[in-house]
Amino acid sequence: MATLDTQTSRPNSSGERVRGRGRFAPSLRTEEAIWFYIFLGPWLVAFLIFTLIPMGASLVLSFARYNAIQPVKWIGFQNFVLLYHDPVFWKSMRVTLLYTVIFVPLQLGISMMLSLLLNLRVPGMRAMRTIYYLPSILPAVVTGLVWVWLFNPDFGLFNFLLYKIAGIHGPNWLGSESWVMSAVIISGLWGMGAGVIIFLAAMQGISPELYEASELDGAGLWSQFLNVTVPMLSPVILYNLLIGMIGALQTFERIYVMTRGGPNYASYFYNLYLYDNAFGYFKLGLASAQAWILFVVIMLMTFIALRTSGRWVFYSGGR
Amino acid sequence: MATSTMRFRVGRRRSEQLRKIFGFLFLIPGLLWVLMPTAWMFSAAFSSLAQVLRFPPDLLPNPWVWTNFYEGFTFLPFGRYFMNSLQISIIRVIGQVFSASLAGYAFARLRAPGRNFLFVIVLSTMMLPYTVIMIPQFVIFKELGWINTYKPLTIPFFGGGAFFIFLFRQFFRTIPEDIFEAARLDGCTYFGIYWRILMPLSVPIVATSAILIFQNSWQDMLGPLIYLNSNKLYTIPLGLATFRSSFGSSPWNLIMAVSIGAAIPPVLLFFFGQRYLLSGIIVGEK
Repeated sequence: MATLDTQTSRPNSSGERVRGRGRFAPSLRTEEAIWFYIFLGPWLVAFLIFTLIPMGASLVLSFARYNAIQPVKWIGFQNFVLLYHDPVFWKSMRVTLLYTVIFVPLQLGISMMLSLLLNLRVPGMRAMRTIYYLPSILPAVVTGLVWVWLFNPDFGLFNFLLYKIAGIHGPNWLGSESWVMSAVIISGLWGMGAGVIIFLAAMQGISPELYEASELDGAGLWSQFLNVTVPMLSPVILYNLLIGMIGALQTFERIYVMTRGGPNYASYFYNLYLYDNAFGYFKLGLASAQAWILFVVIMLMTFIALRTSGRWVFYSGGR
Repeated sequence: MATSTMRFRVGRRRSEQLRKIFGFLFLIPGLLWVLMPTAWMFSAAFSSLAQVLRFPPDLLPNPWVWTNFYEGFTFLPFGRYFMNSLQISIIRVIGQVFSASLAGYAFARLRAPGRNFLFVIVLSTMMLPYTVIMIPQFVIFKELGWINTYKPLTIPFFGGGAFFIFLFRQFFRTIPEDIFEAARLDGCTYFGIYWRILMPLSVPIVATSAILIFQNSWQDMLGPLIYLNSNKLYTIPLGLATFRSSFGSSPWNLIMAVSIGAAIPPVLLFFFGQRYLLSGIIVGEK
């Protein structure tokens, strides 16, 4: 993964040449720097206009009342106080955190196991990989729609199979406060091929010698998995964990199609409430405050993950 | 000595085979799990509405209805939505690949003050939730008169995007430094190096980025939901989302026919690009 060793590896390859040219050296170096900034230009401009300025603006807006028509009105911490006393806000926070805490480890574990299996050299594996990857290509809206229908209590396939195989009368998945979260998690697990692809790519990079050596030492399959595969994959596990977490906290489109947050707010994800406040009621200040709270939560969780990662992430480059 | 190695070899082969058999046994139920919704989609797309709503459900359409696709893409304007999505996605792929590769080249091979700092900024934008910039962006685009156009869905992405800049940088760093030195000594400009040397070498990474950018753009619903008001500009995901809510009882057979149509471009792209995709991602992990 990312190693920020930009300056360390080549002190002299061109530095010497530049020095050899004597007095032209500074101008060459300046020219290179100018081209650096020209090539970075599109990103710099877009970052400034579409990211940095909006970031500052939304931070300011989170302390204001604004509905895009009347002028901005400065109200201090009122938005945050309002959210603090708003039970719906806490509900949406709980729903989102619960989903994240259950879904992300499940997704991580299952997609790692899957990629372990998909990495076996067996005829037909390429087709198998494609099939497993396909659902994650589908737009979230399509995934949502398919599952709305699979979960239909009257004519959905899911309850039909439950009844046929186990004799269970399935619940009204999306219409029941206690079942809707399970339904959302199940439908999310359908599209986890993207993580599988990243794990697969990393597994191809593990040297077979490591496995041979551990086998000579008498390691079984399980201990090979624990002592070779997991450590070698740990940077990628960290990456998938972070990306999965950041994504899960921002879940929106699938839920927008599946439940719109219902029943009785049982699947009212954080971003759904934010979206409703912003574009349903045009409380742009309040929604900005919500966005910044989520940002802080994401930063905190990322920080914790990175901080504790030193203990379990192993960089084979000997960094 | 020799016999012990031999025994080891035999044992190894057997454990290898056991592993394969077990692996396969585990993969089959998973396969059913993944395929079940897809099969169900296909079956519904060829069924009549009456049959879709029947219980217990039939696994195969009876009778086969072929007009769902025609109806979905002409009578309902999903043909138009499809072209809209295509237009947005293609513009985004071109703009984003171009600027991400330029920025990746700058970060990988050009020395300048502030480079490392800017690179950390690029990476940290990956953490930024879209909602933090969503509202001011909306206000800005409203002032610019960009609402109900495709500009808000394409132009902000012409910065390249952190992930893709990172991908290109990682790839360009694997290309030997000597090539750059030699080209510079021969009088090649920096842009010449990028265009005539780097780009021809970067087919796998361009393909990887193009596939992923296309998928991102093709899937996006929130952006169109915020910025597009008039029906004739809708994209496929937005059309599907509003289509469902605007009907009391959903015509599931048509929805599934359209969904299958919506899946065709990304699936085709993945199918033809998959040999690049894996190698492209491996580069990103280095």
